[in-house]
Amino acid sequence: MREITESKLPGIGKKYDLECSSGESLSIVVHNSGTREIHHFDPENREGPKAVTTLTDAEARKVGAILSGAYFKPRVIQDVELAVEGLLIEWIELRPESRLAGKTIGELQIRQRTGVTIVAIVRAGRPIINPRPDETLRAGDTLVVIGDEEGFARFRRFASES
Amino acid sequence: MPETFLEVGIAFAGIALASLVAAQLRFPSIPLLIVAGILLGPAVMSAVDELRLMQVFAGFGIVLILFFLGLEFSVGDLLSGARRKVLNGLLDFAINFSLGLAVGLLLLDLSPLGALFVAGIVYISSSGLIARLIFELQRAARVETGLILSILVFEDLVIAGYLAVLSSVSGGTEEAASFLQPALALGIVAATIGTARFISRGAQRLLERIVSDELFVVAIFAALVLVAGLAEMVHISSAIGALLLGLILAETGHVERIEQRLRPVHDIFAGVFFLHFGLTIRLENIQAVLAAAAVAAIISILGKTATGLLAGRIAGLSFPASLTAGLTLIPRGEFSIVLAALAVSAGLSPLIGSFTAVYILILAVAGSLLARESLRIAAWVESLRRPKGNTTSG
Repeated sequence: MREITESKLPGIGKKYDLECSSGESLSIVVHNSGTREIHHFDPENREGPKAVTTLTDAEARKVGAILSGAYFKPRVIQDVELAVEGLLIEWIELRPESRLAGKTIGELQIRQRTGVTIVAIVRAGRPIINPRPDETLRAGDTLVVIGDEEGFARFRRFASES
Repeated sequence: MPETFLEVGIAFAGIALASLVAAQLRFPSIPLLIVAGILLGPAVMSAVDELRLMQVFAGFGIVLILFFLGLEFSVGDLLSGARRKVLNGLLDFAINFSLGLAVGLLLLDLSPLGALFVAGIVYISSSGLIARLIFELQRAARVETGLILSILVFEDLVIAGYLAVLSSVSGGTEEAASFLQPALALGIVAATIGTARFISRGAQRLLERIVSDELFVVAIFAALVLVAGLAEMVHISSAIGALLLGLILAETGHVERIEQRLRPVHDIFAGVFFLHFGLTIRLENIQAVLAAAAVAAIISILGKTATGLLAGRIAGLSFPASLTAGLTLIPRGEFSIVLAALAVSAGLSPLIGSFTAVYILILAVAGSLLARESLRIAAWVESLRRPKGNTTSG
């Protein structure tokens, strides 16, 4: 993947250009007002976008979460991001029907079976950092889980097995 | 006294109405505010004029417009890609300023000083209107937008210096002063831009301590009016004082907060300023300048189009993109009015005021239209330049 370039549009906002491996390219414009625009360019015509989508600040945040790359970051963080490539951190909420609820971490053998690690549990707004194996998971807990992509795939399968 | 509120109320109702019509028509509000001023006219506003209340409000308007000009200015923006920016900017200046000078001297038959004002009025595109057009037309990521914005950044820098020079020339009276004053004013503006980063540190620390939003807006406004007053005292005009304060605060990292808190104040007083500008215009003067303004508008359209084509060529843009850039640069607005108001208040020909009113009205309509249709126009011209296929039919 090529670098995303950032440029300033004085009086308007900032522009982030991404050339996709498909040959198409995207420009994301963050207006000073908070409005975002996604401009989609064809390989044949680099001068003007083929399509433009306008998002409000709130919509843009949601879409960003879905795309989950969330590349709207200040430049300072770029170095850190390289260092953690391949590492994912996800926040997973346990629903009442989840089979994990009511069992301890040790009992479930999550790390051994899936490869991901629960590094914290947020329960009733308070974090339990580095929970012990005898900690019982409860419905409504938010698990802060760290791992790689395959690990998460295994974890999702494991959690949905019955 | 009992009718003061009523008349000010009518004036503000005029502002609100003009803004409403502008929003409904998706048309820039500045020309409509001026039209509202002209229509309200001296008949309704005579008593207010006696009190000079609207004049004071309009003065706040100029001060706030210039303050925001300074605030939105960033030395960093200016220096990034400086060489090309300067080249494009100088090209734009050379073409349109000299056209403006010709309009002032030959078309309007003004004094050299009057012509200098008109040159500025014709030269300066409206960065506000153009930024809005770019947003509305979703052009922000287009290839020529960078060129357009770099020209506008350069223009805003030039107009800051130019306003300083002209306001000191027209404020100061006779010979000896008239050479020293502008040099001094320009020097002060340049020095402020150069040292803003250092001067701003004190302001930064001060602003950080202000937690209360109410105190923040009051403190900034007080500083603004005080600095404007002090600047007037040393004969560099209140507007330039406001500009300098804006330039300094632009470096503090509180720009967003200042803009957010003061935007409503700006909108109210800038509205009064544009309306008041309309109030000062006599209908009979308008007839006298109608033809001249129309000719000047056509010249200006050609001037900016040529600027876009040349600067685009230099920047390596295609012909259609360059043409689009030129057609987008046409609208004139706030700074043309500021210059015209300055000229009128300096006692130069009142024709400048009515000329500018008609001129920016024409260019607001023509400019929005041309910017909207620029892609289609550019494609059409391109198809004329390069007929499809090589066979000549008929």
